[in-house]
Amino acid sequence: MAVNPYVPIRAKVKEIREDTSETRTFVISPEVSDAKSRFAFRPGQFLQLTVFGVGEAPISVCSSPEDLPLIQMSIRRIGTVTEAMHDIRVGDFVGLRGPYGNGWPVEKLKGRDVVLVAGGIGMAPLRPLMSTSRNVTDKSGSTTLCYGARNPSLLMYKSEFPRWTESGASVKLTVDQGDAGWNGRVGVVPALLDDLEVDKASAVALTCGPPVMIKFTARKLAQLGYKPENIYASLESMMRCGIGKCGHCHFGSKHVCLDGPVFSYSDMLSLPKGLAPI
Amino acid sequence: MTSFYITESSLKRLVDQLAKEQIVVAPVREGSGFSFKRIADSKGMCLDFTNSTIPPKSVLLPQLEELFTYEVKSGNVKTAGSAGDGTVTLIGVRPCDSSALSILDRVMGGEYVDPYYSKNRERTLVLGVSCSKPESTCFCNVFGTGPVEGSGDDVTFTKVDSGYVTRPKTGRGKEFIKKHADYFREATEKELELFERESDRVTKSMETKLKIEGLPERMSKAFDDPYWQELSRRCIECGVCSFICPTCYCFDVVEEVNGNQGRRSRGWDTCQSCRFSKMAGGLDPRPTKPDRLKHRFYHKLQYMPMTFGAISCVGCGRCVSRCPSNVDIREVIAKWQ
Amino acid sequence: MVWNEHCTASLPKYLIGIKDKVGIVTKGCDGRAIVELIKDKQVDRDKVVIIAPVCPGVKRASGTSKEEVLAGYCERCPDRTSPISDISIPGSPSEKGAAQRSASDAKAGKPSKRGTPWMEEFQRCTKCLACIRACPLCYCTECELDGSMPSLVSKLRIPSELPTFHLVRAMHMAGRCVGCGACEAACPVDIPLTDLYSRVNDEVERILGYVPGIDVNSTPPVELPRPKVEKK
Repeated sequence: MAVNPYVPIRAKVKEIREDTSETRTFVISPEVSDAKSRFAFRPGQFLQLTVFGVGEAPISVCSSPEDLPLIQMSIRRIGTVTEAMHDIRVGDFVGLRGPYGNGWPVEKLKGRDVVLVAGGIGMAPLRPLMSTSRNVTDKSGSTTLCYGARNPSLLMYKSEFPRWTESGASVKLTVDQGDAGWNGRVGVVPALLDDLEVDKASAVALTCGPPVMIKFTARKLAQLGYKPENIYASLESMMRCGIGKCGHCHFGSKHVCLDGPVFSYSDMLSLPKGLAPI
Repeated sequence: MTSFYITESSLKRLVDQLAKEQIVVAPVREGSGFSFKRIADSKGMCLDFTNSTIPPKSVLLPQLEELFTYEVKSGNVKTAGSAGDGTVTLIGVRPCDSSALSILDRVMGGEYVDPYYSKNRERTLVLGVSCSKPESTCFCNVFGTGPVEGSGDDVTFTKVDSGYVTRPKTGRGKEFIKKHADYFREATEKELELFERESDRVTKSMETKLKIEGLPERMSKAFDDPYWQELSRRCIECGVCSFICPTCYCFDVVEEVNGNQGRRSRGWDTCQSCRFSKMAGGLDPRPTKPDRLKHRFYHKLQYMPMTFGAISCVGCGRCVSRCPSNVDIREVIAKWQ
Repeated sequence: MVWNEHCTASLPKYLIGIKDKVGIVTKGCDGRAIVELIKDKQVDRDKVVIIAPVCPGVKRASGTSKEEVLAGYCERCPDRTSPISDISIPGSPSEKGAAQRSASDAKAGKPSKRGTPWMEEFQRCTKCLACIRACPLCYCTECELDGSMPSLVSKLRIPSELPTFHLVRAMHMAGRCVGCGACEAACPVDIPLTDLYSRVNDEVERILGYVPGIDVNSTPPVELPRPKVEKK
């Protein structure tokens, strides 16, 4: 019997980590024996997360596929479902559907310099690439992460930065506003893109964050000489079904849930005006 | 394929018989219009109508549909879908609405098959009835979706003399006629001749003439035109166009909770609503009325052809006659033809 | 410009959020709507130039025969000319006569239709919310009945909630509905909404002696602080 794509799979919350004042990371284990294959995902894909009795929201997977059957999702409190998710405790059950979406163009990264640009919780869908940067990307180029947040307390996954640096990635941080303990750079994320030692003509840039950040990052990258077809952004949208039926994520003729959420800059430029942050 | 003939009285008796054995949905009078409703016998059925207010897509994509029920604490899903089993005979479907089903089929299939729609579609036999008195607002002739037969028909009935020339369109339609062979006989040459003349007459009687070839491409140039701003000034965002459109399929999903019992359902939604594309944080890719109205027309006239190869307006004219502000898709097509 | 008995739209709807000075041709009911909108502080009196002809009454196709008859809400209309105007256009003697007959019929207490099977009518409702969108007096950006949070009824068309939707709306129309019929004209399934709202307003008149849309200086029985709507 065919699987009903609308019915969520029950999953147990195993662990909850407080990342920042706004976000928590949940470690979730689907209650099916074939979770590893059922939920096999590509970095950049998302799941439809159900808080039973409240509703559903599309949330990116922020763990590596290697950690399956465990799945991690970082959730920021912004609406009804995500607020309710922050009331969830270890041992509670949530629902999962997916994985959906296209994910990052991992195959394209081979042999190229890779620049990841993240803002705030936008780091979440990029984290699967960092946590196994050698294995997932399997490339011989360099990996640079440019990551910023409004202030130092909103930077996520801080405890993992040393490991990322160890594995060979260059981690560049910035905040809009520093605090007493901050010795690092102050400024907007796109400013980190200056002076990167990468082969811009062939490098691939992957970005995620607030729409205004994506807009200026993409523009800056194009100005610096990165090719529009090599610049990718993970876009947000209102969603309901996640499988291209309900119409809520229509971006022109594309569905963010089917053709996205990752779009190349050249694709974004060809979408009807006002839809993509360009 | 052979053409058959059934008299009006025989059709009524056939419907009476079917209604005893299974669910039969037919057009009935309701209020000042017509609706597709389940009938107990042929008495209430009215095939002498232009069209219903709400399209018969409601049989396949109900306005309110339960997706599944569950226990809130454990997340155990209890039941999935509330559609029954057994055949549903949907009779009286006009060619426009029938052709709309072919469009809905494409949307609901694809990589992720919608199980609720597929089940409803599989169990529904579509008995289409040709039009004889198109309204001035009808323009199916522009899209080739009528007025004689629709692409979603299993069988097409066309009124000739005091009965119907009956033409099976699908294997299922053929089987249906075979099963009820007592009610049908082969159509005579005279009847077939009358059928040709009637088809010709009805098609020629349609008033709206529009050119749609190349329309999707032409609309690419129109996106930034101030026309859309001007057109949307009169729109009151009531969304009636979406609710009565046979090719509209967008839906919203809601939870209902009573203690530990939960139910997730879906129901018709409209892209004209100011909340349709608004995200939890407040961002909205279509924040203004012109954005949304433009989206409706682009979706029907460009995006759907780009994705599925066919314009998703079938010319039923419901939006034209019911829009409180006279927003007219024919005008939009004429502007960019 | 088209001015005839098919002008079913409610033009005051388009005044909400407008910043410029506009001229508006008003039927009697439209003028009454503007009076209420002025009281609700959604329209500035000095920003509208009201051009008031004598309205012939609106005709709508009735029943399945599509024969055109005078709309029920026009039969009930107390005055087919706007109560406020800047430019009034005198009608022909027959127009004036028809308008006066209608007004005296209404005064003579022609009762709102009784015996309507309301629960049956409500079940035909498609929850499209066109009645709310068409109504010139429904300008709230956050509505309790449209399914946005918090809401009294679901966004979806749950049959058991349909009477709640309509009865709550009817209560919201108490002391506000001016009988323009824009809701009925927009309703795709022809629910006789103005019959319902006029029943409620008959009671408001009987109990509180208040009739909406007549006097721009009178105080509505239910006064809610509603912020001025800004055009999007």
